[in-house]
Amino acid sequence: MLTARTRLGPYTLAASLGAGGMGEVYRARDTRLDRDVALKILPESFALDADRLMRFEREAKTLAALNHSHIAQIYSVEELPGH
Amino acid sequence: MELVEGEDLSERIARGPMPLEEAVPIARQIAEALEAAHDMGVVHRDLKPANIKLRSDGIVKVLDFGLAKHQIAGAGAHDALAGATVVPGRCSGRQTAATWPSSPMANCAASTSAAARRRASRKRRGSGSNRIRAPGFSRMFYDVAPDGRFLMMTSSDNAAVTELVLTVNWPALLQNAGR
Repeated sequence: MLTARTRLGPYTLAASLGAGGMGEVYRARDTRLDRDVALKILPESFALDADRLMRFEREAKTLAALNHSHIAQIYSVEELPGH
Repeated sequence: MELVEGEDLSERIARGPMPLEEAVPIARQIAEALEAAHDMGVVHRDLKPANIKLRSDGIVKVLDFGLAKHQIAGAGAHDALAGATVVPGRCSGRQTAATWPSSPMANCAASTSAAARRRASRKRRGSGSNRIRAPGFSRMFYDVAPDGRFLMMTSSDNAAVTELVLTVNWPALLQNAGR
């Protein structure tokens, strides 16, 4: 679990929104675009698991393909080594 | 990802019974999201109240496609949701269980379109291999109306939404309802 004010690239974490089998979700500030976002993080230990990484990337692509007002949108996927 | 503020449907359910006027717009928006996903060949597979966010302005958002699966685009791919109607139905669980599987909908459907009846009949015959399956959808709304009411979506021009309801595993649903 990461703590508030941790910086990940352009994002500053604010609070944990939950954790599940697919990683952790945080409320964060996108300092580049000045907006609040939900950040879904696949911890490094999970990212080393090829199957988990594949599912995580698949979810991102699925969301990217879906553009609908009643489906939470994906903004981007970032890889940040060392976290 | 987009940050969706507000409580989720499980929190809303825990707060107490939801009047139909509140539940219907929620159900309709979820159905729209599912239909859009299905049109892209995506099945959510983890539909549950905790994955539905309710914004204070009334907008509903479906979250967490982490378990979603791509399937071959099939039923409903060309149906427009515009014009779909949501109608409340009343159902006595016992009656339904007694008549399953010969006429699973007979005692439940307060209002069913001819097309929906045709699909129900086709389902009983076991045809229609490309039906959309989203059992979480109706299970969710059984929870919303635990007194036995449930929401039924039906529209003569909207195969996908109708199928969502008709392909629900009613015996499992009723078993859950007996918790």
